[in-house]
Amino acid sequence: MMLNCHDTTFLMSQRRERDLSFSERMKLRLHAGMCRHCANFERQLPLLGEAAKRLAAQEDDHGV
Amino acid sequence: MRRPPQPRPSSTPIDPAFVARVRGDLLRFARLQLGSDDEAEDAVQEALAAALRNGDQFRGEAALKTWVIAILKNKIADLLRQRRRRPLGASQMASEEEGGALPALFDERGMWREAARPAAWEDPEAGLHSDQFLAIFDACLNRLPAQQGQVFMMREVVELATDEICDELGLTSGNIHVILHRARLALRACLQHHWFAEEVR
Repeated sequence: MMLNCHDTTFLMSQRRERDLSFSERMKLRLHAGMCRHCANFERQLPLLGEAAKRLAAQEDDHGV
Repeated sequence: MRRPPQPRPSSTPIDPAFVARVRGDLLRFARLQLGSDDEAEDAVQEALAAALRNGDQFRGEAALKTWVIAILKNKIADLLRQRRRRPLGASQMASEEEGGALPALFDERGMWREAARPAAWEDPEAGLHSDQFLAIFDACLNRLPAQQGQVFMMREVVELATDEICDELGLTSGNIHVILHRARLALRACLQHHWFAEEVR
């Protein structure tokens, strides 16, 4: 069954917390292979975590 | 800003203005994760006191600040692990989810609404090295519902596992997954809108 964008991004988000099942991975790939918006979302996800870490550590760089 | 007296060994010449500046940053950081002004005040106070006790080991304010932040992160992680907080918002979350309401970014079929579609971002890594980008990200974080911001920071900055966050907040792992999904959707949308779309760099 084809996932919609909401469910696809939900799985992409969860993948940062847990291992997805084989079937979940297949469904995710199938959707992301055809939907560049969700593919963009997936590429951008790690940046959010990175930005949060940088923000928390920002003071280290500047000595502000 | 109210600044309580700092315990300070006489051998350590630490500039009070430095403490005042750092304190504001630390408070913002602690508030986001603890979701409580009082507890954030206490954690920051303790972290500063602990850091200043050994302040004479540090050359320069940058090193001292790094040290204070490290202490504060530990304090927050301890607090979050020990404290059994009221499961605030747990019932809200559950009902919202069971109601099946989709975030407004999606239409009723669960597809991206046109205005909400994630566009390709040009050179996203560059943002991480830009103060302006991080300031916008900070504003986006502060705009999240309190619980979303809290869970996102617990996960991505304090790096607690899902089950630790569950224990702490009295939520199920399903709740956490939903909260993190929403936080990430909202943060991504906010960045696209305020940074990548306008290319203020």
